[in-house]
Amino acid sequence: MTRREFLDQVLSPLGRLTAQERENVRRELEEHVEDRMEALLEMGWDAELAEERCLEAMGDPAEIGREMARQYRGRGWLWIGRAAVALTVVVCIQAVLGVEVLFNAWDGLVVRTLRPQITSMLDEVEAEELVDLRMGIGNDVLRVVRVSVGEAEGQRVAEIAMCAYDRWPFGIVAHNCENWITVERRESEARIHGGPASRTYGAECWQMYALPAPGDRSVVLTYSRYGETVSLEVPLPEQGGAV
Amino acid sequence: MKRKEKCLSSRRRRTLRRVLIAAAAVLLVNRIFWVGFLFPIQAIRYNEEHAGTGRTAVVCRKWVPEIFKTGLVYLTENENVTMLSGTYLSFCGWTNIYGVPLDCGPEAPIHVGWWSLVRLEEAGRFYVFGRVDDPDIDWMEVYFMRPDDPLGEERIGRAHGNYGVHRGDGGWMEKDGRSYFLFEADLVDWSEYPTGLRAVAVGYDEDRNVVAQVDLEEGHVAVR
Amino acid sequence: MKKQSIEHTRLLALSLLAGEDMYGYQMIVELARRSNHTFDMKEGTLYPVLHGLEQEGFVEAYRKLAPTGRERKYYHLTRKGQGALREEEAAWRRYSGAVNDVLRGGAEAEPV
Repeated sequence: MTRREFLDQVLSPLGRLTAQERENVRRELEEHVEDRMEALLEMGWDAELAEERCLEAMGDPAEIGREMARQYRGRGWLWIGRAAVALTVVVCIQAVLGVEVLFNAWDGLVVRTLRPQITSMLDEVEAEELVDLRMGIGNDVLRVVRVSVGEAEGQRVAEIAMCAYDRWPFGIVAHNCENWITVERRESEARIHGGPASRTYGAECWQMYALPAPGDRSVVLTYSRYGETVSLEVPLPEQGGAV
Repeated sequence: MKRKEKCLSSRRRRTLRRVLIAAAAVLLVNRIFWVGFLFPIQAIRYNEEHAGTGRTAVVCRKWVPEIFKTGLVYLTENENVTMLSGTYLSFCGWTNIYGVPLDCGPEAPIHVGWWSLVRLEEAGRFYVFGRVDDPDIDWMEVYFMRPDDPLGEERIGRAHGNYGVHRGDGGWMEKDGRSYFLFEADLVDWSEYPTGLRAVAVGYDEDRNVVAQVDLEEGHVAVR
Repeated sequence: MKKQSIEHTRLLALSLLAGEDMYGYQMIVELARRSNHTFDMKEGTLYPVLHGLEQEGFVEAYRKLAPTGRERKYYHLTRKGQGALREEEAAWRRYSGAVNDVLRGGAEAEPV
C-alpha cells in the first residue's frame, strides 16, 4: 500500500465532512507519517521499507476512517451554521433592495442636527429670524427652523418653516403629521398655497402660514392627535430683524 | 524562526460565529433599513410608526389567504387609537400594508372606521371596525345609504352578510377594559353597487333603542 | 474490548496535554517514553480521539512551527477539558481501585 492509497482509504468514509475538514484530516495524518518516516530514515532504514513500516504502525485505515467519521456525526451544528449563512445572505440582499430607505434615514439625521433648507414662498420679506424650537409630538419631534414675516398673495403673513423627525435616529416619522398641526390665532388662518414640502420616511419639512395682527409678538402652534395636545409658542421676528 | 499561531475552529465555534453574525445582520437591517422582518408583528410596529400612534396591543388577528397566501390583518389598539392594518410575507420579510388609524381621543359613544384591502384582479375585503365607548350599547349595525336617500330608507348591504354584531358575538372583542368590533365582507359583492355611498354606524341598546349614530368618515382603500 | 481502549486513549490524551501543548506524533512518542513502551497502540487511532475531543470543546487546536522545523497542528487543553480530565481520572481510580479490591480479595481467599 502506498501512502496515497492509505490516506484515500481513511478519507473514504468521511463523506459527511466538509472539504476543508477532510483536507485537515489528510494533512494531519500525512504529517504524522512524515515525522515517523524521518525517524526511521535517520536510523538507517530503507525508504520503501520505512514507508511500509510507518503505514503498518498507523493501523487499519478503514477503522481509522470510521472512527473519525463518528466524531463528526450528528448534532446538526453544520446545518445550523449553513442556515445562519443563508439568512445573512438573504438579509444583505434585502438591505440592498431597500437601500433607498437609508437615504431617507440620512434626511432624518440631517434634519435634527443641521439646518434644513426650506424654500420661502413670500414675495417680500419684512423680517426673518432663524430659530431652533423643538416640541415632542407623539413619537416624533417638531422643530421650527425659521420664522419670517412678509407679503404673499397680497396679504401680510407670517411664514413658519418647520420639520418633523422621529425621536430615534434611523426612525420613521409619522406620515403627513402637518395635518394635525394648527396655527392658532384669534382670527382665521391664512390661505396661502403652500410651497413644496419634502416628505420621506426620515423627515418631513413644510411651511405654515398665519395672519398676524400688527401688535402680535408670537404665534402658537398646536398639535392635537390621539388624545395628545401640545402647543409651542413661536416668537415673531422684530421689524428689520436679521436674515 | 517565527512562531505562527492560528487557532483552528471546530464546528461548534464556526456555527456560533455564523449565528452571531446572522443575528447582528438581521438586527441591523431591521433597525436601519426597516426591511427583513422575521415576525409579522414587526410590520405592524412599522405601521404604528408611520401613523404616529405609539405602541399598540393586538386585539385580533385574521388570516386572509384569499388576498395574500400569507396575508394577515391585525386590529390593534391603545388608549387613544384603534388601528386596522395588515402584512404579508414577501422576499423582503414581512411587508407592511398601511391601514387606517382611528383617532379615539375625542369623546364619542362609538368610533368607526372602514378599510378596503384590494389585490388587483384577485380579491378584496372590506372591513368596518372601531371602538364602543358607551356601555349602554349592546348591538352595533353598519349599513349603507345612497346619497340621494338621506333618511336611509333603502339600506344596502343587509343581503351581503351580517353587518351587525352583538355584545358577546365573535366580532365583538374586549381588550384592556374597552370594547372593539370588526366586521368584514368580500369586496367582490360590491361591484354592483354605485359609488359614493354613505356609510352609517348605529348603536342600539338592549331594547332596540338607538343610542348613537355616526357617519363613517375615516378610512381608505389599500390596493396592491 | 475496543471501546475500552478508546476510553483509555481519551484519558491518556487529556493527561498528556495537561502538561503542555503537543501535536499528534509528539504525543505518541511521549506516550511510549512514559510508559516504557507498554502502550503499543496503533498510531492512527489517536487522531479520531483528538478530533472528537476538539469537537466537544475539551481541546483547542492551532498550527505552529514545531522544533523539527515543520508546521504542525498543536492541541491545547481547555478549561472544560481540564474538568473532563479530572472526571476521567477519578473514574479510572474508582475502576482500578475496584479491580484491585477484587484481586486482593481473591488472593486472600486462597490460603484457606
